[in-house]
Amino acid sequence: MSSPAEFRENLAVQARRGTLSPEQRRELEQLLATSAAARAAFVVGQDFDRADTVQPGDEALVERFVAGALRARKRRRAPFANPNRVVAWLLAASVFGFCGLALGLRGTWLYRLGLVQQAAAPALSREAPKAVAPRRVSIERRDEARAETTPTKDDNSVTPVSPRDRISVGVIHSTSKEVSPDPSASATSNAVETSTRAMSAAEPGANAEALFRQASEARRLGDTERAIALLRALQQTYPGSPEARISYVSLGKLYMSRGAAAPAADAFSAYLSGGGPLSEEALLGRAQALHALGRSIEERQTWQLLLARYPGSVYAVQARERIRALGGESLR
Amino acid sequence: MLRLIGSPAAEQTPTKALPAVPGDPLRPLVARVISREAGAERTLLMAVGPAMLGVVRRVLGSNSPDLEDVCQESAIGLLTALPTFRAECSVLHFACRVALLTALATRRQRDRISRDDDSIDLDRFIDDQPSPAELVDATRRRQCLRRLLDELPLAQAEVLALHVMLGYTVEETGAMTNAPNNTVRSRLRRGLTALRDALADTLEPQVATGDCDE
Repeated sequence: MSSPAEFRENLAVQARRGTLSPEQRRELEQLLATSAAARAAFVVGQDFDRADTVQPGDEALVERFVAGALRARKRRRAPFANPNRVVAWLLAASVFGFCGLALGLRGTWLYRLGLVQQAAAPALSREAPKAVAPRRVSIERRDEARAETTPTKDDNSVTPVSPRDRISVGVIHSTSKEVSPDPSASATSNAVETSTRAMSAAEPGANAEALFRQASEARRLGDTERAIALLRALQQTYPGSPEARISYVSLGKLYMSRGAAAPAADAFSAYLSGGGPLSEEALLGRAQALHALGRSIEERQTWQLLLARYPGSVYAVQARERIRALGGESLR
Repeated sequence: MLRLIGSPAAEQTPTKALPAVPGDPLRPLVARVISREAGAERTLLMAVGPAMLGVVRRVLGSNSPDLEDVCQESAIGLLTALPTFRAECSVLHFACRVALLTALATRRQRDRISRDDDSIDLDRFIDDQPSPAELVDATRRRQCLRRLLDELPLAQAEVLALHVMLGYTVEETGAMTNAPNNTVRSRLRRGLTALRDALADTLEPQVATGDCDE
């Protein structure tokens, strides 16, 4: 594979990444002096790098859109994608088909029985019926019976429901609402103990997820106190759950938003001790917390660690600037 | 290797073989997603989510109201496109490209008036950052590039965004777009020329070239 500097266009990219050698830097300066297009690309690229692309609440935003995407994906999935579902659908279809056939046969049988009875009644009352007469009568009666049994549009659209029926339906609905568990109702309760107690009745995995969701909701609504309490409860109640692991990053950010840098640094450190997909965010948060605490040496080490682990990180520019300001050297 | 969120026992499940490229920890996870392993989708999205958010934010602007929706569409697009992933670039780069194309398509579809929502929040900048005037100039240059991306042919716009906006090298851009390096370079050359002209047309010469702060 060719080195990144093989193409002149890469010099600007390398400069933005801070990986230029002195010789390449001279080459870049020459290029920028002679090419207006290269200079424009370099300047605009730096503009994008300098812009603060990371904002408070990003982690919650990621959680939200990931959850939304997974929900939407679940809905969009074809109903026949799962073999078990295919079997279930076939079974349901065969049951419905069988029931429909049985009902049809029963209806036909009843219809014919009714015709025979109707045809037999006048025949019995007459003294000398001719052989063809019952048949004619039966044809006429059949037409009448068809007219009676064939539903019209009006028949279908107007389904009379007595007020009593309506009331009973309403009662059933309201009762079912009262009985069914409502997550939003539990989310409105203030006490952490209440939610923890409520959650402990369900399965552990679902509890941790629900607790985390409630905390995210509280944070979104600006109720930082409650969000912190819920995350703490989550960590204490379900310490081994994936949600508890992620919650340390959320907790750190919440503490930072309140200006409590010391517990924020502890929370980020707790997440980093186990590692995970949010390590990059946790390193950023820890460095910012240490910066707020004035613990320069640890802050510089954290930035250096971030650069070492994630050299292409969106926080790399910020990290290098801070390391430079703290009098250290970045790794790249 | 990443542990699947919400399924501690999932690591024992054998994964399908994809071309093993060292240095990409997300590659085994893709096979798990394709085989619909429980928790794999969430784990993958949580891993690439921050990077996708960064890409969408750069394309749409920091304060765009569409940010979350476009990120969600990108995440769905990524999961849908994963079976076609040919492992010619890293999974993260693939995810970033999906996010970029989704965001570019969104910009092209929606009204341009509401697009450039990159208002300057001075509180977000710390003391050692550039002056407010310089920030305004930088914002105008960013908006200029975004508008240009709406007008260029998609292939050129994609290469320009990957290189200038997101800072990828020619080789990385080629791997992400499945295009030879020379094709990338020629698209980039045309895109950069258009960028230079657009900056010169819409901004003062000093602002266009960033000379005002020197």
